[in-house]
Amino acid sequence: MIFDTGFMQNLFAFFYRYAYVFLFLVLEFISIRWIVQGNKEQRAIFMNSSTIISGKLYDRFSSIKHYFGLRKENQTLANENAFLRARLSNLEQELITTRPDSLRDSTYRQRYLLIPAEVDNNSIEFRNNMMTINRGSLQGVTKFSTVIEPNGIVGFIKNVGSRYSSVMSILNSNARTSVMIKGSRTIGNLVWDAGSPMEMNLEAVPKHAFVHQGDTILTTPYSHFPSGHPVGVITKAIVEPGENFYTIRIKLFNDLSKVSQVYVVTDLHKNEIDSIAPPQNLIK
Amino acid sequence: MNAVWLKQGLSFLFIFLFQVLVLKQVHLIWGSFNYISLIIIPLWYMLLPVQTPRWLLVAIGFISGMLVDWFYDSPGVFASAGTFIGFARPIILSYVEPKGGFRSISIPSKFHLGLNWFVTYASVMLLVYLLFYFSMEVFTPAYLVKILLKTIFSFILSILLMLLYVFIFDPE
Repeated sequence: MIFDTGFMQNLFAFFYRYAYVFLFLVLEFISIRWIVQGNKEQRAIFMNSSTIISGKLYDRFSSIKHYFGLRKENQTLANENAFLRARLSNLEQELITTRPDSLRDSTYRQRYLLIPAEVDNNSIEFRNNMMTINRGSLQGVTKFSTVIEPNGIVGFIKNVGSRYSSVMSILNSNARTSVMIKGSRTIGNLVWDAGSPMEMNLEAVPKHAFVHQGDTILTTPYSHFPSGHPVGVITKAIVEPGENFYTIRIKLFNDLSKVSQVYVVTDLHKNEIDSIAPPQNLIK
Repeated sequence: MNAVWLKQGLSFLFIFLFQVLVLKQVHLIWGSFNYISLIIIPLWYMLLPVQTPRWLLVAIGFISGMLVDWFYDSPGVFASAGTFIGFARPIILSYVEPKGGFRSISIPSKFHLGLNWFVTYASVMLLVYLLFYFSMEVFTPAYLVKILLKTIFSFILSILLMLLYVFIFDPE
């Protein structure tokens, strides 16, 4: 008889003894699934709860940090003010010379909505860096919004809570940003190699394009970023032998390790543009 | 028994908050040298009672890792490393077991077993933990050199932090 009590006891003893191995395998399987399923549903659930829980705590904590950065913040804002005032006076001049009474301004519509926000939580040392900002759906942040600084780009909104949102930093292996070279308007993809937080690579620029060291990089009209926003400057551009594309190194204008005051940008024309042409997969 | 686990809970709270509120904010990066993450959370796994059942170690590793993941926005990375170290701890302990065994000692700490023993034990635990953690974080064998460099540089600073903790609190 195989199924006598002794055998069953041994079997139970075996399972009891090695239950921890099964538990280990199951839990390891679950966590690795979380890691692999990068952008899918699970991550969204995970991130939403994390935004709610950690957002509040980091908000408290970062107010201390913001206090120490006030002097620099002021300087940045004053610079931006000056820049905007200069543009405003230019535009006023233009309005006078174009005789506004002869224009029908139904063609003019506000395109971008900018919401000021503070970064509560930021990382730069990982391969996939994320941030938390203290603005959410109540303040008008949407899933397709992007985040910029006056002198550079910061990231893409990933998950929107009611008061906090999580942002996929451009320093993230899943972030692909469509950018162009100022002047020639040659288009490429901005990607990060997980090295210095100040430097990125520009990919997919064909070797017949004219690329020079010192060229400025701007955002394209095809990304969700406001078109023509400054990104960085080319520090190295070579074509490796046998390659069809340039190897381009870019130095960012902004320092993402010190980012604190940002703007959330929402493209108000997005629905209209998408209804004409289906959106391309610009963000992977 | 309850008093022991109350102590464990408090030390977890302290180490956990120190990890997610303070150490996460520290960015040690110079130019393209980006290899240091300060990680102190494995210290808590090291100081759990010797008699903790194996399945509980694994479960605790998973849950506490998940909590850290919430704050690091890194689903699964700390959880998998915590699960792994929970599984590996009894094996590591059996290798570094002192001559007379652990007997009545409940916590494998410097207080009971001396600095030399603790440094050996902590180093092995931390190296195993970091190697697994960075493999999960980078998640591509192609970056093996990067994983190793991150492990080595993070190990040096993290172990110093852990020893600092052990010297200040000297857990029994």
